[in-house]
Parts: sequence; C-alpha cells; structure tokens
Amino acid sequence: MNNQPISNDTACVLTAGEPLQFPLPLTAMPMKSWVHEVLEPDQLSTSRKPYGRRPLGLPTLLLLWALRVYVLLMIVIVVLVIHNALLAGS
Amino acid sequence: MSTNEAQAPFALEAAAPNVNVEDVKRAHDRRHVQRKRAGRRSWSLLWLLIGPGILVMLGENDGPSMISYATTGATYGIGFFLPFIALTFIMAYIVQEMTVRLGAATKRGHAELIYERFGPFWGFFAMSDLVVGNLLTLVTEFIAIRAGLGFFGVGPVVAVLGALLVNIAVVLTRRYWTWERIVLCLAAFNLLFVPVAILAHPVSSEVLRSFFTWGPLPGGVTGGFFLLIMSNIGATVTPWMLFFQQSAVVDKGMTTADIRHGRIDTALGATLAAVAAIATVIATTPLFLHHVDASSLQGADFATALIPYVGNIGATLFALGLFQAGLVASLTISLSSAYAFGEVTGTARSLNSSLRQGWPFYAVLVAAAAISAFLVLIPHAPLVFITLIVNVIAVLAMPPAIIFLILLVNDREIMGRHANKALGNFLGIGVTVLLVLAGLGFALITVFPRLLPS
Repeated sequence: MNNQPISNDTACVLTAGEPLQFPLPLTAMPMKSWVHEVLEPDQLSTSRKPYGRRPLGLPTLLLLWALRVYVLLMIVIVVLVIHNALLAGS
Repeated sequence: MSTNEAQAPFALEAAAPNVNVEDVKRAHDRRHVQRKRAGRRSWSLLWLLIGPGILVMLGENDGPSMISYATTGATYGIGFFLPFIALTFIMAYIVQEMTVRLGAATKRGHAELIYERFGPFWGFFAMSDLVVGNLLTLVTEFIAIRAGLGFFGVGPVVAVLGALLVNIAVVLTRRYWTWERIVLCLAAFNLLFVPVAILAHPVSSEVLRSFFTWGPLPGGVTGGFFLLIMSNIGATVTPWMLFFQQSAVVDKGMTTADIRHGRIDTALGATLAAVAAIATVIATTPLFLHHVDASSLQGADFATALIPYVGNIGATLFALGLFQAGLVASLTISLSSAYAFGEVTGTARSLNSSLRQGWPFYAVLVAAAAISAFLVLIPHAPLVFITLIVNVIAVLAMPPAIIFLILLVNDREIMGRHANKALGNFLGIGVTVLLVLAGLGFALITVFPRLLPS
C-alpha cells in the first residue's frame, strides 16, 4: 500500500477518526499541519468550543429591559414627531 | 519501516481538527504577520495589521454624517462644533478600543459573544436591532451615492446599481485581506473634504481659537442646536461599529499579540475621520458667513451652493466625497449585517469563506445592500423621513449596545487579563450616560419644543 504513488490533488479535508486511505493527496497533510502551526486553536472555524452561558443578575436584567423599553419609547416618539412635521410641511 | 510506523504521523495528523478554505486563507495572512513580527519590521507589521479600526471610523463618516457636518458648518460656522466633533471621536475611540480587545481575546464576533454568553433571546434581539437599523442606514448611503453622482449628471438608476455592483464585486474576491485593502483605498478618499476646506479659505487663528475656547456659538443653546448635537453624536457612535470592528478583527485573524496595533489602527482611524469631519464643517462655513439658508439643503445641494465660494473644483471634490462616503459605508455596514447573521445562526461568518460553504453569509451581505438600493429607486419612497430618523435612531439604540459591550469586556472568564480596568469602565459608562442623556434631552425638546428658545 505504501508503495503506491501519492497524488498531487489540491488540499482536502481529512476527517478525524476516519481510516486513512492511500493514495493520499500530497498537499493535504502539510497544509493541515502548517495551518495548525500558524493559527491558534480558537481561530479554526471548525473547532471553536462555545463559551458557556453567563447568568445575568437581576439588576443587570432590569437595566437591559429598562434600556430596551427606553429605546422603543424613544423611537415611537421620534417617528411620530418627524411624521407629523413632514405632514405639516407638505 | 513497517506500514504502521509509516502511517503513525499521518494518523496523528488526521486526528487534529479539520481545516477548511477559510482557515487556510486566514493562516496565509497570519504567517505574513508572524514573519514581520519575528523580523522586527515594525512599519510593515503596522501596515499588515491596520484595517478594522480605520475602516470603522471612516465608514462611520458616511453620507448622512457628512451632510450633518456640512449642515453644522453652514449653520454655526467655525466655533463650538470643531472641538465638540473632536470629542465625539474620542468617545468613539473609547468604545471601539474595547471591541478590539474583545475580538482579539475571544476570537468571536460581537453577536456571537452575546449569543453564547447571554443566550439566544438577547443574541437574536441584538442581531435584529442591528439588521433593521443597518437597513435604514444603508438606504441613506445609497441616497448619498445617488446625490453625489447626481452632481455629475449621473442618473439615479445608474448611480445606485453601479454602487451595488461594486458591493458585489468586492465581496466576490472571497478574501478578507483583498476586501479590506480595496475598501481602505476607497475610504482614504474621505479626506477629499480637506482640500475643500482649504479652498474655503478659513482663518487659521479662528480655527485654532475655537479648540481652546469652544466658541463662538451663534444663537446660543436652542432646539436646533440640540438637534445638531444629537445628529453629530449619531454621526460618530453607532451600533453597527461595535459589530463590524469586532468581527473584522476576528476575520482578519488578530490575536492578543496584536492588541497594541489594533489600538493604533483605531486611533489612526479616529484621527483621520475627525480631520475629515472638521474639514467638512470648515468647508461649508462660507455658507454661514454669507447667510445662506442651509435648512433646505440636502445632499449635493451643498456642493452646488458652495460653487461661488470654493469654485467648481471644490464643489466637485465635495460631491465626490459625498459619493465616496456613501459607497464605503454601504460596504462596511452590509458586511456588519452579514457577520451578525452568520454568528447568531452558526453559519459561515467570514469573507474568507468559499462560495459553497459561505453562501448564506454572502447572500445576506448582498441582500442587505440590494434591498436598500432598490428602496431608494422606488418612486415616492419616504426617503426624507428615513434620512431624518436614521442618525437619531442610531444614538437612541447605542446605550443597550454599549451595555452589552461593557458586560462582555468585564467578563474575566472570557477576557482573562485583557478585561476592562477601572479607568476603562469609568470611561465606557461615562460615554453610555452621555448618550442616554442626549437621547432624553432630545425627547424632551421634541415633545416640549418650548423648553428652549427656537
């Protein structure tokens, strides 16, 4: 098996755990190890481990909701006033 | 050597996490950075690492912002607003620097972090806020593009569709580095307002004095003054900037080793943008000095009105600057929508993605720009209405966005030693309080207009 010529196909993704099959694309292995050398583990698009949930305390939740209500209220006021101003202008 | 011994290193290699096209492209970019760092080539390293900060600041000098600065200059001349604008960019730096640290330390975009740390409810809420706000803002960018090119006799359909094609073409490079460099070149033209300011022949001593005295302020504190304050703040500090810069830092592959350069990049961007903004105020000062009524001027009307004072060359540069402002902002704002969508839905979120893997990302990016572009072309669309509310809504929507930012940047579990210190929190919370007060003040003036003299 290891006497078969190695192809020069372009890089492919090797799935961890699957049995290796020859001939192996020559660029696949060097490409993968080189990328792992250069990038930090969290920079790899396929292996990012999500951060866990951080519980929001009651004061923070109240603040977030208060700001949410403030924004919605303000937007309604702005939209109404500008709409009325444009109607009055026309 | 037996077959098993020959295969052993390959087996270990195969067990390592997968890489794809996006990772390979990012690794190429990082290898350049690492080589320059190892070779102690400081200017080359800076050149490689600048980008997100400059783009976010110059991108925020968008169409409506430049019109806001032009209106300021035409209404108040050289005085209070010059140092005030500089202050707003200091505020912008304080906020944006935190996004650099967040992105570099966590390797996550802003929407993704909100989603992961605070849950899907707040994650989708943040993304929806952003996408809706961005859609409205993008409409105003295409209005600016239409107005700027309209000065040269280019029809609205050609102007808008041409800009849309530029958006699509730049994105189809499928390479973050290429996209960034192209947009940086375009963003540099934001400084076109500087020669216009010089052609307006300002009195240098007046310009300098205004930074020390914060005056004069013709007419004093009125409702109109407050509106311009809100408008200028909205022109500098908006939610899309948080999402864009953090995600761009991640897409660029920056790490904690690059935080110092990220800060330099952001400071450089704030400085350039402040220079362009102040130049725009100075450029339209002749309209104030000659008592030209600027209240009805929109878009390229400013360029036309300036011809007697800055000449045809100055007016041409002004119109070009307006077009550029809209174009660059359309590129950065649509990208921020796509980043947020990809991060919250768990799909591709990088300009390095292949078309096959990243098609939802690219689809959202193009759709955001296309929908806004087509809205501008609809006859009798309420464009004036949208233009008036966009900057104000951006100011109003900023406090919740900054609160999330402050919560995340203080999260030691994800930030480690890069979490905010006391000074950072003092400044960040200070900016938030200022924005909330400005919004409340605007609401009071709007609902009770007789509170202040008109």
